[in-house]
Amino acid sequence: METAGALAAGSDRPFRNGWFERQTFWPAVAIVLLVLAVVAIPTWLNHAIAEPTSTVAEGDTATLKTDDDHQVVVEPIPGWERIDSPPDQLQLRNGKATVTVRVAESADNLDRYFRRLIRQLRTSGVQVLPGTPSKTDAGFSGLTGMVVDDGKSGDLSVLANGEAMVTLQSLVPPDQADQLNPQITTMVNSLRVP
Amino acid sequence: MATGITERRDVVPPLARTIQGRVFWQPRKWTFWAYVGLVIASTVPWFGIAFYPAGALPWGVTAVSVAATAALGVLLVLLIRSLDVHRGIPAPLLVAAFVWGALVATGWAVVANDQVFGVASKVLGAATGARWEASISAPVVEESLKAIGTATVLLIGREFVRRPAHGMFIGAFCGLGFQLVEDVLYAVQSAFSPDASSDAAAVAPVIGGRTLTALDSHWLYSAVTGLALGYALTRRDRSWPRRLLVAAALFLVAWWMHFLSDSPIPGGALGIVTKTVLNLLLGFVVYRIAMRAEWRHYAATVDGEPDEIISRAEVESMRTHRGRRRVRKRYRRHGGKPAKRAARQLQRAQLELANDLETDPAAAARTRAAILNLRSRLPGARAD
Repeated sequence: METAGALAAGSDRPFRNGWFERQTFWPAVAIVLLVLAVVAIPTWLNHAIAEPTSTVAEGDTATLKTDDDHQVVVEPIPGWERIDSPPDQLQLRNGKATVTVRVAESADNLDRYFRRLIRQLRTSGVQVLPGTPSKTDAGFSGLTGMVVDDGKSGDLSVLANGEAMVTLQSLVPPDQADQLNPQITTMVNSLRVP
Repeated sequence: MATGITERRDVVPPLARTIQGRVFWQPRKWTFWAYVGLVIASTVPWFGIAFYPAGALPWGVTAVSVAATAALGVLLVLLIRSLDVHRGIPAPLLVAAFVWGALVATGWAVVANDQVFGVASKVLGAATGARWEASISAPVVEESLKAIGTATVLLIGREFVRRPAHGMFIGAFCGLGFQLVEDVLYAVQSAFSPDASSDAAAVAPVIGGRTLTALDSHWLYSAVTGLALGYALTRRDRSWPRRLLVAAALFLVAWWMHFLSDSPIPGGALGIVTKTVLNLLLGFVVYRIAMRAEWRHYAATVDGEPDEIISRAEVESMRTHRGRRRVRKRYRRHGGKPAKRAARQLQRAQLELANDLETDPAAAARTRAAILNLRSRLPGARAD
């Protein structure tokens, strides 16, 4: 009521010294700081805590599976860092280069899946050029397109073998492409259904 | 006899209506500018959320999602308003809380949740982290952001917030804003899923599931948080330690409800039903306690009034919608529909009287006159 009354009276000039209700200053500061804290504290923690990783040894294999028990086996690239990931994914890192392999939940329509995957990636700013048919040594076949993100480029593949379907996404800086792309191709060719 | 609302406007000029324009517009308060600044700043996360998806948005399913969510929103607004048996909260405060929940809390929650998901994955391991990240992050991040918004609105409208239940309903609207925007966000996100056979096939279960579980959601948790803040702010007859203790306990209840709802266990359809029932029971208990205190406050406020203004039986009947309906039915039996309408107006005026007695004696005098005027048109002097 006081506020309404004071405003109606119009006794002071707006925004002049003393016009604001002094006792509301610190609560206002606290409100802004609290919102900042809710965002800043988790951000700081996430940056401060190191990602759990392990180095891939020669001969290592990874079995990826979904909740529905779709499974594939892949041989990660020796010497790369393996980032701890959910059971349906394999994430590898080598400097700024990354490779992600993921088992899809269903494999009923590869073309549609690839189209929808491209659209999903575009929603996070990743550019993908349309795919061309591709095939691995162990009988996986599907579509592969070129993917560009954050100054790096690589492949986006959706490959299926019977019931199993996987997506692979590699991103490699231009100066490492000649060295790392053959390693990635070797890993893709190691994909098999257990 | 003139009918309905027009007549009521003639005879009852409630205080809240005459100064409603200034309830939220409080430029002398720094808290008002903090609210405005944070609403404007929420465009930053929203720009990040919407920039790339905007170009690829499936407009058909987005429109359907928005329409279905808006319909759900209308139903929930009606539900929350009907739960507010004693009213008295100016609408601008409810709208301000809704806007905070819809824009500020959701926008920054998307950013902060992502970071907590990262922390959970690193600390608990990727598999466990992915399973529990929502139940870890959402109660902390989202309940905190909505609580800050509810507190901000309570502080802006401090002069109009007089009872803990006012905080409860302002909190409920803050949570409702969050809930509806989150529903649309989830629906649109699911439309982009490559695993689905079509956009519609992806969106339908999300909208359906969110609608079915709409009662056990943000509006409910934030109502409990709002009650906590309302109690801490308005119960000046209690000591600070007690106010803080009660508020902390209620905040913990809200946190627990949200945690339980997002928890992966118990899983499956039966698990969802169990969690929903448990949360609704908990919410009901909190609501009953809050409304009992509301009625006691109402009864104490109008206690000194003569029977011509409000009798003891009428005070008792004001406790619930059912009690009021019973009184109106009784009048209808004696005087038909006009008597029932007049009884409804009388009850509204008697509700308004308690608000006026607390805020503006001049308005209370006008409301008393209006009550006498309405009563003279009723068959028999009183409801009892």
